[in-house]
Amino acid sequence: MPPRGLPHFWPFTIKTYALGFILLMSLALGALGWGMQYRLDTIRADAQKRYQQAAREELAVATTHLINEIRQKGQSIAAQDETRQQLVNPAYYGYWRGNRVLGDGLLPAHVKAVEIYNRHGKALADYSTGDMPHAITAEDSAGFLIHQSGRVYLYIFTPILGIEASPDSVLGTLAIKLDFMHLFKESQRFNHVSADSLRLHFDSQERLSLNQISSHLTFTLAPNPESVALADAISQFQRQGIILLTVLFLVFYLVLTSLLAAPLRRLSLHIDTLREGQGGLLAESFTRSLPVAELEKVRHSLNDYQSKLEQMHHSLNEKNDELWTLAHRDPLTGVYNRRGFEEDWEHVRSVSSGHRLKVSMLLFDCDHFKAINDTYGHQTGDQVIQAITHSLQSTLRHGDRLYRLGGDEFATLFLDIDPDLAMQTAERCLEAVSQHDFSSLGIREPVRISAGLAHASATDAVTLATLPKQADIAMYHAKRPGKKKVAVYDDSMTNDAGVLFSTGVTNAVFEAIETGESIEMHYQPVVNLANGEVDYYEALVRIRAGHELIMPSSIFPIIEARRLEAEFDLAVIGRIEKDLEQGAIPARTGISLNVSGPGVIDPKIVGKLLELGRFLDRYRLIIEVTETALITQFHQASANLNKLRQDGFKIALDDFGSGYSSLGYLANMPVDIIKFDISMVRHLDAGGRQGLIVENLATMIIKAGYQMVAEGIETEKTLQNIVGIGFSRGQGYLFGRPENTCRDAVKFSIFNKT
Amino acid sequence: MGSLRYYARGVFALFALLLPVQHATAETVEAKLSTGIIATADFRTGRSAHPAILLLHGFLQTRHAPPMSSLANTLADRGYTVLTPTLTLDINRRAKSLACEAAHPHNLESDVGEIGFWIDWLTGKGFRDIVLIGHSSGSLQILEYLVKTPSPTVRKAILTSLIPIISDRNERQQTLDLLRKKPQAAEQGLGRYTLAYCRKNYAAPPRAYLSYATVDNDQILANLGRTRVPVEVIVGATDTTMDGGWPEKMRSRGVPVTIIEKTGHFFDGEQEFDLTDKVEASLKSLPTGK
Repeated sequence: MPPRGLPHFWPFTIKTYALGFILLMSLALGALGWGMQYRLDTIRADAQKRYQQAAREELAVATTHLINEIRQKGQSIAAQDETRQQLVNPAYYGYWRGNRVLGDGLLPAHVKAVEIYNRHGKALADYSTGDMPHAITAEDSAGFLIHQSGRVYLYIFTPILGIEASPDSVLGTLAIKLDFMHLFKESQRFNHVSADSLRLHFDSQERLSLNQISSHLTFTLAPNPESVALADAISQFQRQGIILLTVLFLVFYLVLTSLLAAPLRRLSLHIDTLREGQGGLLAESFTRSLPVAELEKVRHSLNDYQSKLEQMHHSLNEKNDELWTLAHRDPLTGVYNRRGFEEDWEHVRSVSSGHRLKVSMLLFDCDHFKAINDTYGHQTGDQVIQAITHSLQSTLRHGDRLYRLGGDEFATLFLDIDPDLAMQTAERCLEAVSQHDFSSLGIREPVRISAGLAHASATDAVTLATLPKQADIAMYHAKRPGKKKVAVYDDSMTNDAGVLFSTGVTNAVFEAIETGESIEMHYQPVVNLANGEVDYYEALVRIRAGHELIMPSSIFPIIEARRLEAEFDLAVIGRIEKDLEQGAIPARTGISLNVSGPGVIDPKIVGKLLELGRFLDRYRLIIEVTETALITQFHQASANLNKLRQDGFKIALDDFGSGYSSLGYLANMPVDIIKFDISMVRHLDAGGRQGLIVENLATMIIKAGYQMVAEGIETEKTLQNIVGIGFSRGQGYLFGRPENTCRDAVKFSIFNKT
Repeated sequence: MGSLRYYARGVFALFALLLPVQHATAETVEAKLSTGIIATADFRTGRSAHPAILLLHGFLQTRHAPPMSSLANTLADRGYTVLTPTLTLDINRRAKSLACEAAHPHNLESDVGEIGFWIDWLTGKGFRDIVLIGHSSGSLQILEYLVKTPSPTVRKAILTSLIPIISDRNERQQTLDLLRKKPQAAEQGLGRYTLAYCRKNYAAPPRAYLSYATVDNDQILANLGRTRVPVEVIVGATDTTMDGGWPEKMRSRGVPVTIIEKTGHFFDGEQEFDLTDKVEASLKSLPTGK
């Protein structure tokens, strides 16, 4: 949580902390330095005062020293025999003064004049040099300073004493005149005073006594070497300190930056790189060692964490792959599943959209797979699916993806493929499946698949979007009895398919199953060809949707697609039961009702049928089943049918000749009646070899003891043919169309003859 | 034993300290010369059996200068009456040696006069046997005194390091020429001369200068020959101020010359004792009594 007011700066960087620390240290050291400087200034001021005092004392000492020195020299000169000789015999006084005193270096250079005065204060020489007074008084003997010619001259007087006989007697006075300031400046060494600054101030008319000299001297202080040295040392120390601190702070900053900030930044960048990897390949490990133990530990921990993360990542990838495989692959066959299909389909749509590409979709569906599955068990059913998958994959081109959309439904997509080639591929697939030896799985019946093929141009987005639907329509179209097993979608299929995929029809079917109220049974007479009387009626289901009737061609694709055969059978049986109860069926007739393959083996259906057995005393009840219904789960179906037969039901094999029409199967089927499919009947009408085969087949079946029912009798000629062959029952428009009431069959003369 | 030894050493040291005190008890006497200048001398009275000895210092020195001062002390210690005057050189109560550069109005005659004054002073004190001992220019001045009118009380003269006072021949001649041309210049002004150890800085009037500079070898030898007072000369073998044949020349005048080996002009060092021995030996050869 950043502190208030620092939303943009918080938290601080290490560099900022380092700079802050340096700033604080600089301020602290600056304050300390200021304090030291203040203290030093105070000490310096005190030292300056003491220095001033010392200078004053030094001047006093120097003055005294100089005067004493001059006096000593004067005394030395005064004590000389030559000096005293001048008082006795001044014949060579001038020589003595000029050469022996002034010219012989006995006195300092700034001595301007020397004079000897006798004991009465009178100068020995009548003429004086250097403005020396001609006479002196006792007051003068103490010495004095006066201004002369702009200079300050010092007069020192030394008594010339006698020796031996009268050592204390004063013989005369030696007077020395000298340029005081020059001599003072040059002869004395000053430690505290600047010699050049020395000035002696007193009135030009005044005579200054010697003890007043130091008090009248003005001066400026000489630089105190110790103070200067100390100040220089302190200044140098401060400069060096500043430089040292600057260097130290710089080093501190660089060290902190290089040891902490940079490694942390690298760590942060490394972590950012890891984060930005977003599940992709992880960055390499942070291999560069770090100079700080704690950071090094963090690095190791990070690398360990990263290593574990990588392991987890790999594991996740594997799991993802596995999951993807699970999500996109069919576990039974290994081919792509519906999810894979949908994603690929979306991908194809997005990739091909707007391009001049032809997209083809091929759907496969195993015929009667549910019957196979129910007959031979799920394990065999699975093996059948695997075999079909293998056959399809081996037939499809390399790169073509095969999808198992569910159950026995497969699909594949072709991009930019010629429609003929797609058709050929589809046919090869069907051929490959038909060629497969399913007998190794214990399946005696042939296994076939149907295929629906649809084409669309990628530029036609609307068509492309409905391609799966078109392929589906085509496939169901192909599955219809009597149709070619490979169907290519065309618009004419739309009407049929409209029913299949119509929401209204579907709803009506579902409603019919749930309530049974909209089911309307239409009855078509099956005529006894021996007398032309209605033997029984085949109950054909319709669903009433308002004023319209939904026909079986629209009902059963939905039923089969939804695998609702058993439920629908129940609803239909329930409707027929009501019709029987209501007496809608004429007496001494019967009803044949169609039961689906799943219905035959469904205990509920069988139970429901057995319940209808209560009408057997009044009606003949015939159960019509198809070859496929029997074949797919033969034993159960046979057992159920035999049970029904035992109760009095007759079993009719419906649409014989439209499918496999295996005579081997026929012999074992628990059926009483064989209904020749309309295609077979037409073969009889057509005559020729095919007609002859069918005729002989019918004859053979009749001889085998089966009742034969010919379907699709629409002409009297056909009637005559089948009668001639020996068919015992006939059904068709010739006798009557299916109607919601049971009508008598149309009478024909042929029956009158008999 | 050790403490006794140290005690003995202490006593000896105290005695040694007292020795100079004995000859330091000399009396300083002052005398006003006829010129008005007050002359001074140290006077120590000895045993009456010994002659009184007047010792005269060298060029521009005082009575305190070696070797005469130490010799005077020794002789006084040995019981001789010793008088050591300091030539005034025209300076009242002169107590220090005079620099070459100082004005030197004095001359050889005034010096000889002062010698005579002090001999008279001794004679006035009752001393009848007086021995004169001089050193260097003091010997020369004593010899000058001897050839003039020496006091009959002067029994002998021991002249050490008797040599002429060194001077520049040309300078001396030029001065002589100057005086001949300008006799009035003799007392006027100060010239700067080379005299004895003064090199071109001896400040003196021409006449005063010449009084010393003109005493050459010949005059000394002549004086040695002319004096009636017995004279002995003692020189150092290594005295560089004298010519190599100088002792022989003096001997040629009948003057006994004693040469002390391994010593120079001032008989310094260990040879000071040799000088004392020679002097004492010479003094003992004199007849006793006042």
